[in-house]
Parts: sequence; C-alpha cells; structure tokens
Amino acid sequence: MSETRVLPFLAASGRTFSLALGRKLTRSRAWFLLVMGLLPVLVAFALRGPAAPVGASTAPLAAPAAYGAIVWAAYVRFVIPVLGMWLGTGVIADEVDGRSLVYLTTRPIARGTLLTGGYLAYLLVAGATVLPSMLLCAFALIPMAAMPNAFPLVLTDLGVALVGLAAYGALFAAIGAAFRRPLVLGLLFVFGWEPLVLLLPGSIKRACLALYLQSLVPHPVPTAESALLPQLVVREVLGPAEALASLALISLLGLWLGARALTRRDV
Amino acid sequence: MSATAPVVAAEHLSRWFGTVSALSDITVEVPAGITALLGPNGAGKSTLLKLVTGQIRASRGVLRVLGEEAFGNPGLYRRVGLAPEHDGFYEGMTGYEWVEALLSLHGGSAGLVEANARQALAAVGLDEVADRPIGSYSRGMRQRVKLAQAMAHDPDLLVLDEPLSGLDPLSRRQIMALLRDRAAAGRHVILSSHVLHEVEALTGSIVLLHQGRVLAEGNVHEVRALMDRHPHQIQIWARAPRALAEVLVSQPGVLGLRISSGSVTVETSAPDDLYDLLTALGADGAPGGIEGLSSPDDTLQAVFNYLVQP
Repeated sequence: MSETRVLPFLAASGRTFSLALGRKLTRSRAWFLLVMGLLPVLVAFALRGPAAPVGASTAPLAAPAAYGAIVWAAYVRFVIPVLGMWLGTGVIADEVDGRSLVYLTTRPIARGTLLTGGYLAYLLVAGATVLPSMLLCAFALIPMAAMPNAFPLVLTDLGVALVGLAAYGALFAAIGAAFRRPLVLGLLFVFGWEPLVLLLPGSIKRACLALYLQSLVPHPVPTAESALLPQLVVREVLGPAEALASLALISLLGLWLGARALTRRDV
Repeated sequence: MSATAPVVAAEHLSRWFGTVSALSDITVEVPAGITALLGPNGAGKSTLLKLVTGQIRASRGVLRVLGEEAFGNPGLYRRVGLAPEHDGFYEGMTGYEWVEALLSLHGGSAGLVEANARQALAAVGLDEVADRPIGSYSRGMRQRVKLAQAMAHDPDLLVLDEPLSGLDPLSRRQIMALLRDRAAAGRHVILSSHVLHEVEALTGSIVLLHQGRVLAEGNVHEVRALMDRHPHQIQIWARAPRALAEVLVSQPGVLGLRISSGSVTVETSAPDDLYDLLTALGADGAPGGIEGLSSPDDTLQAVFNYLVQP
C-alpha cells in the first residue's frame, strides 16, 4: 500500500464526530448533564408552586418575568458557560487525559478535524441538554393561554442558548487544545474573569462572552424585584447585531485557533 | 522509495523537552525489514518512535520516514501503523468497535472497514473476544488489540513501542510469528524493547540507544555476548506463583527467585533456556498458570553502563 491520500475535511470531521459522540456520553457525564438540565427546571417548578397545574402559574413573580429571570440567571450566566467550559475543554483534553489522542493523530486525517468533529459532538450533547430544559422551564412558568404569544420569545431563547453554547464551546475547545489543565483556566474564566470584569467600567468587559450573550436575550433586564440572582446580572448590553456578529466571530476564531494549536502541538 | 532505501533516515536529529535532552544529535538509518530499538528506560526509544510517527516535531535535524517528512504529514500516516506503549483505550467500547472506529478514520466503505477490522482482530487471536468491552480484557489482550488497530489498515511500516511487554508466552510466539510474516511480505517493523532476548528471535538488526544517543547499530550478536555475562531478570505473572516457583527453582541457570503478589521474579544466567521452558510450560498448562512475562531492564542497564565506561 503506497497511497497517501488524506481523508477530506468534511468526511474526517463526520467520522471524528461519531467517535467523539460516543465518548461524551459516558455514565458519569450523563449524570452531570442531567443535573445541569434539571436544576433550572426544578427552580422553575419551585417558583410556580407545587399545586398548580402545568401552564397555570401561581408563582409569586409574574410568570413571564420569572421565566425571563431564569433565562438570565440560570442559563445565560450559569448553565451555558459551565457546560461550555466542562464539555468544551474536554473536546481535546479528554483524549489527552485518556492517552487516546495518539491513536487519533496518527491517522490520515488533518488534526483539526479531531477538533471540529469533537466540537460538533459537544454542540449536539450540550444542545440536547439545554434546549429541552429551557422548554420545560417555559412550560412551567408561562401560562398556557399566553403561550401562543410567548412562543416566538421562547424560540429566540433557544437560539440564543445555541449561539452561547457554540461560542463558549469554541473558546474552551481552543483552550483545551492549547493548554494543559484547561479546566482550571475555564473555571477561572467563568467564575473569576467574567463576573469580575463585567462589573468594571470601560470597554474591558468586551473581553467577556457573557456581555455579548446577554445582549441577545429578548427578555427585559431583570429588576431587583424580579431577578432571582440580581447580583449576578450586569445590565449593560450591546446591540443584538453587534453581539451576534461578535459571538459568531469568537466561535470561528476559537475553532481556528484550536485546530491550529492541535496541529502544532506535541502529542 | 526504492527497495534498498532506508525506512527511516535521521540526520543530526535532536529533541529536547525544556532543558532535558531526550535525543541528542543522532544520525541513523533504519533498514528494510524488522529493526529493534534497544535501550534502557530513558534511552530515547519512545521519543524516536514519536518522531517517526509524527507525534512530536524534532528540535533540530532532519527525519525522513518512508522518504517523507513525518510531522504534520497525515498522508504518510496511511502507510504507518503505531502501537504506542500506553493503552489509552475507550474502555467502554468492545475491541471490535474500537478497531473499527479508528480504521474508519482511514476512509473506505463500512463493509470494507468492518472486514479489515475483523481480519486484524483475528490475526492477533482476539476474534473470539472481539465483542467484549476492552475494559474486561487481560494485559495480554490489551497489547494485542493495540497491535490489531495498528495493522488493520495494512501499513507499510509498523511502529511498536514495547509490543511484547505483558504478553503470555503463547501470545508472544503468535505475535512474533505475525511480525515475521509481515516482514516476509515486504513490510517493515520498528519495535522498541529493553529486552534483548525477546527481540533477538525477531531480528538481527538493532539500534542501541543510551541517554539519547546511538551507541551502536547493526548486528545483535556482539551485544548479545556481552549480555550473557550478566544475570537476567524475568518477571512472570501467574495465578499460583508459589507453584510455578517450585518448578523453576530446580532449573539450570536459575540463580534466585522472588515471589510477590501474583508474580515470580527469576534471576537467571541462562535466559534463553528459561524463555524456552516458559513457552513450553505455557503450552502445556503450567502448574502456576502463567499469565504474562516481562523483564526489568536492570540487566540491560548494567550492559550499557559497561559499554559507556571510559
């Protein structure tokens, strides 16, 4: 055999996607995903009140406002960044930690396809965790009668969640491909850098993904009366077009930098 | 690449990690057929194999593998198969699923991938357990499934890092026969080992590495003569080590025995005789139930110390 053909990028990404998907769905990880998905739902049901039937909210907060507050505080500021960090860093770092990367990088595929395939698997798994969870929250907190009007808003929320997962995932996938101990860096970013820098004046807060993501949220900014965790929500927002373009750019840049780091790194 | 061209050609090749030099200005040509990289732990064998398989890039120097650059050249990896020293399996997958998944990265139809994966698993004697999770495999099975994924795409060059470590005597014999068959079919094998006796049966072509430098390359016999002056240690994993020790203690050449949990370590001045005996015992069903063999590298280290004495 003397053929030296490299598997085309899309075909290779598809195959690494299948491989990564099986890798992501381990038992311990499934538990974590379940917890991350159910936590906001439990909060939503707690707010709605135990006796009320689904769709007929008796929550102390006005239902749509409570739903909006959950989207802000639970999803935008917690679930999406944490899932992005935890699963995104693992796209490559899991293979490094498991010593399996060498089996993959010695195949006739561009190394970058390991990142793109793994990233797509991450997006599928994270999306399958977050989107149904958000839908359950919406059905728990928005009265059924109001649902036809509110549904476009809910669909927008789902889109925002996907965009957020895409951006955080790409950023952390790049960190996972470039650095040792990426989870430590991720924790510092999500729980140190972002909350701190968002509070600072000036343009430095543009170095936070949260700023762009919260600019896309279609709900009114939570007020002190309605927010579940008002201290976590910084109210400054950008225009949606700028925010969306920035997140798209961050996602593409993250993937490119991650693929480049993986291509150049020692295994 | 012509028939006489070297499989691997390194020229003033160096690789360091921070301030540590793993390979230092080596110039070596690996010929066609089977070649063993021999050296104690830390000699630079694994670093050289990582360079050959494009896992790491050289700090300095030139390296050609099958006539091509190795690092960042995925096209070359279609012609190279690697069985690294460390396991790194997806433990929940079956042996077949794992080999098939890796083989699918080479392209080809699903049917072809399946057939080649099954064929490779059968070649290493794992066909009957191919559908069991890798997590349930013994040490020897894990070694063999590594070999299966390395050769499933029928590469021109097979690169094996310590491939015989942990194998039981029968598996060793089977794997060695497999490697000899590949060489006879015009393929090439580079394997690393710190045990001269196990590679001697495979090839006369060796590269001796020590502290990141090539100490000698070529024929094995001179080194072999030197090795025989030093007692050789063999560790044997067995279900009943004490019963096995009772058989071994009376063998000629055995200088000492040490029994520990699950294994017997034998010090012998006649390693070939002992390996032959263990192979025969493995075939007949030894009293102790032999599960695997390995050789600590003390002996080789002693020889290297001797060789590098001023």
